[in-house]
Amino acid sequence: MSGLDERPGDERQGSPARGAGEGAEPAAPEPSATLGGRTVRSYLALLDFAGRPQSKVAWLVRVAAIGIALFVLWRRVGAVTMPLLTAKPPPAIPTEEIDDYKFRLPERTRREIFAELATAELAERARAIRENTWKGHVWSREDDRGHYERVAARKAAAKHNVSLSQVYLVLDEGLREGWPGPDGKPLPGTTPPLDIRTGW
Amino acid sequence: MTGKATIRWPDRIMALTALRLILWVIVAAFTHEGILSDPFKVADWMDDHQFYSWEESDRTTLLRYHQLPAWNPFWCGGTAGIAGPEDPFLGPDFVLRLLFGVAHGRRLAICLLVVLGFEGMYRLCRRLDASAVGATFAALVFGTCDRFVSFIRDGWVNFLGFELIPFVLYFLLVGTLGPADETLSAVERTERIRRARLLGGFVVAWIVLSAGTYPTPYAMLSVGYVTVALSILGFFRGRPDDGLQTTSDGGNRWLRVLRAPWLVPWVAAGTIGLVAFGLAAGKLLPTLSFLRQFPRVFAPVEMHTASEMFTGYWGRYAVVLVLSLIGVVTADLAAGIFFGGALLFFALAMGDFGDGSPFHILKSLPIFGQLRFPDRFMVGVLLFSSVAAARGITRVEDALPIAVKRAWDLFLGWRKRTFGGKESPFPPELGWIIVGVAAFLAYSRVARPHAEEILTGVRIRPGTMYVQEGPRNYDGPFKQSRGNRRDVHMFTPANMGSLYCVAGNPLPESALLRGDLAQEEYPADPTKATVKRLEWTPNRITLDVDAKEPTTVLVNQNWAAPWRSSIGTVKSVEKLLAVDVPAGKNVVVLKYTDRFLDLCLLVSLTTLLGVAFVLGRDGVRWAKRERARWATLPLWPDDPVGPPANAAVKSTPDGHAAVGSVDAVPPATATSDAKVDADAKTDEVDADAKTDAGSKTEP
Repeated sequence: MSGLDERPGDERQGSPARGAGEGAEPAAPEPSATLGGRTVRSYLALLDFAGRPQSKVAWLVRVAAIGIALFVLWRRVGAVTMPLLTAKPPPAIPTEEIDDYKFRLPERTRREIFAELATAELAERARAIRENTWKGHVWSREDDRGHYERVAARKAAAKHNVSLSQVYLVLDEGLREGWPGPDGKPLPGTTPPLDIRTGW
Repeated sequence: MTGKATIRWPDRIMALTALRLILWVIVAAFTHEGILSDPFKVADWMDDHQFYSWEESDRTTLLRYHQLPAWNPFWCGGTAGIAGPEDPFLGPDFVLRLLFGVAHGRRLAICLLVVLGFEGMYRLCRRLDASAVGATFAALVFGTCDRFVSFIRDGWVNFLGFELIPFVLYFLLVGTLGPADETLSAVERTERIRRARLLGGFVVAWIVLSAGTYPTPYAMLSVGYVTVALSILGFFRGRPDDGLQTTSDGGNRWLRVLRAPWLVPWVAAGTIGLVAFGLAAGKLLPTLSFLRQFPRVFAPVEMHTASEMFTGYWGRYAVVLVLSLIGVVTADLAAGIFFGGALLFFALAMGDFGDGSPFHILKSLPIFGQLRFPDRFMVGVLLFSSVAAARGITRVEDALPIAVKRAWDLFLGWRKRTFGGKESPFPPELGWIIVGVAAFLAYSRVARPHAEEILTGVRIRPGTMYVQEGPRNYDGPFKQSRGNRRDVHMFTPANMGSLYCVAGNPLPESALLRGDLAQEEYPADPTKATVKRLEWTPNRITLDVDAKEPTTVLVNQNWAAPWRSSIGTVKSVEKLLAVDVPAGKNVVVLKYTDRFLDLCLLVSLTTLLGVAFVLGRDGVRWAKRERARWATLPLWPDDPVGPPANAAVKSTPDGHAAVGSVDAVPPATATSDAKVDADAKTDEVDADAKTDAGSKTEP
C-alpha cells in the first residue's frame, strides 16, 4: 500500500485488469457495457498512460497525446517566458568620448556626481573613526563604507537621472584621475584586503 | 516488498509526463510570476548582485574569450573560478545563462528547477504508491517551499538544488526496489534499475556542479537516511524479488552477496554516489582542495529552540503535518519512514544544542563541518513530511472505495442470510465511480484548498522580487576598480574587477592591488622597463616588455600557483602576481594553467561519455524491443492476442508480461545483456517476418 510494504503474492499481484489496485479498484469480470461493438474498458485502456501500451491503437493514442501535450507545453512555456526574453535590454554605455562627454555625461555633471559620492565617503570615514566602529577592524569599516557608498550612488543616480552603472563609472574615473574630494584630496584608490570577521 | 504501484484510474491520466509538465508550468508561472517579470532588474539583496557578477564573469570568459573560467579576475583582485565553492559554471542549468544571458538565465534556471522539483516530488510519491492527488499535493507544497522564496530573494539560485533532492530519492528507490511497473520483464527491470542509478548520479552531480554548497550535503544526508531505512527494511523483511536477473551472476558468490536485501540499498546509493563523483569531479575535487586551503573561518555555535522552529513550520504547513500524521497513525510504512526523516531534519534544524545533538555530530564530519544556519534543515523537514502527507492523503482517498466495497459485501451478505438468493459480485463500474469520487473529494476537499492557501502565501508577485536596477554594458579594456561588493553586478559588465569583496572563506588578497592605476600591468621600477599590454583575457595576458636590465613586472591581480610565464619566473610579491623578466625586448605570455582542474574535468567528461553511452545503448535496445513488439500487439486492447505459435513473444509461466512482450523472460531463465541483444535481433527478424501473419489475426 505504501509502495514499500507489499510482498509478491499480495492480492493485487498479477491482477488481470492492470492497475486494479487493492480496494481502490477491485479486479472484476469484464464489464458488459459496450460501445460501437467494443467494451468500454477497451476504450478506457487507450487512456491508460501508466504502463506500456498494450495495443497498436493505444500506441498511436499515446504518441498523439504526447505530441499534443508537448505542443501545448511549448506554447505555454513560450507564453510565459516571451515577455521576459523579448524585453529590450538597457542601452549600453558608449566608450566614445566626444568633447568633454564621457559615459554620455558632460564633465561638469561627472564632477558633481563624484563630489557627492566623495562627500558621503568622507562623512562615513569620519563617523567610523568617531564611533570607533568594529573596534577599528579595517575591513569591517570598509564594508560599512561600501554600504553607504551604495546608498549615495543611488541617490546620485536619482538626482542626476542617470543609471547606476554611469555613477560607478564616474566614481572610477574620479579615483583614477585623482579628482579632489571636499577636503581637497583625492579619494583612496585602494581597499583593505579581505579580512573577514570571525565573530560579530 | 517489490513496491508495486496501485494504479487508480485518475493516476493513469496523470501518468503522462508531458501532461504533468503543463500543469507544473502553469503552477510555476502563477507562483513565480514575479520571477518572469521586471526584466533585467536584480533583487535588492547584495548576494544576488555578487552571484550575478560571478556568472557574468564565467559567461564572458567562455563566450567572449573562449576559455574555461578557471580564474575569475573580476572578484577580489582575482580568485579561483570553477573551483570557487559558489561558482555554478559547470551546472547543467548554466546553459540557460549562456543562451539567454545571465539576467534571464538565472530566472529561467529558477523556473526550471521549480518544475523539476514538482516533477521529482510527484515521481517520488508515486513510487511510494501515493495517489496522483496526494503526489501532486506534495509536489506543489515542496516545490514552492517558503525557504526557497527567501533563497531566491537573497540571490542564492544555487540553493535551488534542493529542488532536485526528491529526484535523487526517487532514483534511489527505483535503483533499490526496481520500477513499479509489473509488466516489465527481468531484462527491462534490470535496465530500469541501472538507468535509475545512473540518473540518480547525474542529478546528484547536477546539485554539486551548480554550486550546491548546502543542497549537496543535504542530499547526501537524505540519501543516507533513506538508504539506512531501506536497508533495515530489507534486513527484517527480506526482498525475494529485487527485479534483478538472479542468474546472470553465473554463480558468482560475491554478486549474490551484493543482492542481499539489506545490502541492495547500499549498492544503489553507492552506485549513485560513484556516478555522481565521476560526473562532478571537475567541480568537486578542485572545490574541496580550495576549501582545504581556505576553510571557513566564521563558524559560530548556532542553535534554535524546538518551539521556534516548530512555530515557523506550523504557521504555514500545519496541514502537511496533520496529513503526514494521518499516514503514520494508519500504519503506513512509507509515511512512517519519511516522517522519521522529517524528525531527523527537525532535530538538525535545532542546531548545536549540545554535544549529543545531531548537528553537533554532523559538524564533526568532513564537508558537513562547514555548514551553518541549521534552520535551513527545515527544507528537509518539509521534504520528508510532504511525502508522508502524500501517503496520508492516499490513505484517506483509498478508504472510501474500500468502505463502499465492504458495505456492499455486508449488505449482500445480510440480504442472502435474510432473504436467500445468490451473491452478486461488486460491479466494476461502481468501483470506478467510487474511485473517481474519492479522487475528486481528496482533490476538492483536501488537496486543492490547502495547496492553494500555501501557494498563495509563497507566491512571488511582479514588482516584489526584482526591484533594483540592472547593469549596463561598457566595453572598455579590463581594469581593476576599487569596486563595491554590494553592487558588484555593475562592474563586471563594464569589464571592471571589484577589489572590495567578501567571501565566506579567507581568500588571499594582496594589499598592493589598486583601483586607480593608469595601466594594469606595470614594471616594479619604471626606470628599468616599459610594459605594454598586447592582449588581455581572463586566463592569459600577453605583454610587450622592454627591459633595460632584469626586472620585475607586476600585474594588478592576485598571485596564484597555476600562473605560468612564457619568459622569466612567476612569483608572488606580497600576494600580487609578478614575473621576473630578463633584460631585453620580450613578448611575455602569462597563463593560468591549472593541471589539477584539467585532470578533474577530464574525469567528468569521461564519466559523462560513459553514462551517455550506457543510457544510449539501453535506449537503442528499448527501441528495438518496442519495434519488434509492435508486430505482436493486437490492434485494440480487447482484441485477441494473435502472435503465431513460434512468434517472438515470450511469456513467463504465469503469463506475466505476456501481452506484447518480446523478452518477458522469467528471471530464472534470463541471461546477460549480450543475450538481450541477441534476443532483440532475433525478435526483430522474427517479428518482421511474422508481421503479415500477425495482422491476419486482427479484426
